Amino acid sequence: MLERFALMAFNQMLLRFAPTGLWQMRFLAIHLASSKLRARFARSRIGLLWLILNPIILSSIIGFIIGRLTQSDSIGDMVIYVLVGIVTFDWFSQSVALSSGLLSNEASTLLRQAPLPFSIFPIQHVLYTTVSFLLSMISYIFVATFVMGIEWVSVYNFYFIPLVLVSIFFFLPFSILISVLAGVFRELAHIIPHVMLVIYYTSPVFIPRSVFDGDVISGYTALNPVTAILDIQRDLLTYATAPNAYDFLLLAAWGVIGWCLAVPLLIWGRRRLVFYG
Amino acid sequence: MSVKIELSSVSLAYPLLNYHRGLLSRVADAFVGQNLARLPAEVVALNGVSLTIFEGERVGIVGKNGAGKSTLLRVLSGVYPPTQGTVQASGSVQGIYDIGTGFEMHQSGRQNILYRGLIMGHTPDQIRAREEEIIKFTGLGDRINTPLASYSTGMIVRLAFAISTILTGDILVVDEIFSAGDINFQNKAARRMEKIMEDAKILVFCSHNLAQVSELCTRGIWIDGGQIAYDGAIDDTIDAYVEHTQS
Repeated sequence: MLERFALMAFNQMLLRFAPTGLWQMRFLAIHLASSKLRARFARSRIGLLWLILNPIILSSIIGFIIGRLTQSDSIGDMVIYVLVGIVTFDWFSQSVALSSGLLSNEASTLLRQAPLPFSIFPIQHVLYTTVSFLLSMISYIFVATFVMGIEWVSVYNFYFIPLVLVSIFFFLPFSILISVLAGVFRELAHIIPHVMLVIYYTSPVFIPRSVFDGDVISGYTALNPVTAILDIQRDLLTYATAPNAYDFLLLAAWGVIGWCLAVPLLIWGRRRLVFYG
Repeated sequence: MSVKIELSSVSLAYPLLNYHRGLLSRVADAFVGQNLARLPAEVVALNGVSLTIFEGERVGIVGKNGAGKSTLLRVLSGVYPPTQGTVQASGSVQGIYDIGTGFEMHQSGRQNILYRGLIMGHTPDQIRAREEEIIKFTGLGDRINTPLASYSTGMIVRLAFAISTILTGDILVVDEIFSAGDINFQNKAARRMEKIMEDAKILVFCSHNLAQVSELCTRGIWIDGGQIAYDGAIDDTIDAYVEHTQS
């Protein structure tokens, strides 16, 4: 019975991602992602420049305050630390938490007009958040290079590509899970922000990294995928060192767990989700 | 291979699980002693519908509001999956309904042409090849490059109709689209619809305009309460439907 289920799930995955289904809709996914990016800054004079300015402004405020409160020797180092944290955590939280509205808002009209695969909506959403993240990284490059004079360019920068790919592998199934479950169980949309808040304060986004190696929280830190992404980011961009293989494996493991949950949910929702929009 | 649509004992029920009285309302009901009927778990829109439509047939769907006509069209288009039964369609299906919804209002008319074409399953190259033809049909001129938010309702309808009717398929499913736009556009739209209906191998057309249905179709299906009440020649079907509504 397990083999039959596995084969059915695999076939359904092929249907979702086979050339005759999702692949044909790739242009629509790209269009939806780019349209969302344009709409985000519609009628703004400086438009996409806010993707670069916002992290700089926010990290400067938080870095200055935290640096003062902790009596840090270098406020600049704190700002850089927070900048990486904010840009990376935004990528994660927007990819996952903001998926809660996909079925009820974005997908509901389109699903009733054409036989579209629902998975196209989480895919275009993660594509949109990833492009936003990559553009936001310009803020780090600017501050690190021209303000702080950090030598972040190294051979280890090439690990950035597998970081992005593994992160997408981790984000996408949880985006699918959240979008489907929050569309069916609307209470979830109100619970997710609180969960994100917990993850935000228990990950080294702006709180110094050493705090998370303490006895009380070290076990949680070892399994926290957001900590893994942040550690890899800082290793590559701030400390110019090789990232820890454990962090990549942790992300991949969480991705596998996510897909094991998301695929059956997509199979269940294939014939139902159009009615929950 | 000939084009055909086959429905076999198709039923469709809309779940109502997401629609319920809120917590405060239920508490208030308890206080004032009301016993409002609980919402049913689902609404049955189609119940055991079986039919086969062969290549060359022009089928008109008639019925009163809430009979299940639009639901049937969406099942034929593959948008709504049936709760029970099977739907088999050989040939590409193009649905033309709700043409005024699903636009990106902050985008220009030209960008929306691409958007709607992509939703209909076409590639950017296919859409670009027909773009000028679409723009010419709308008569919007330079306004095609301004955001849809600046369009009047009539302009949006003209754009929607032009997009929906440029790119079609073997099986055409049409739901009540003739009532929009000014008289000039309606004449133009009618001529366009006649053309694409002639080109389609199967036409399924739903409308409350019985004269139009009689003119365009050869076979009629009267839907009542989610079931087929009559299936025959179009004039006989319309007579049966009218007689029932007048009795």
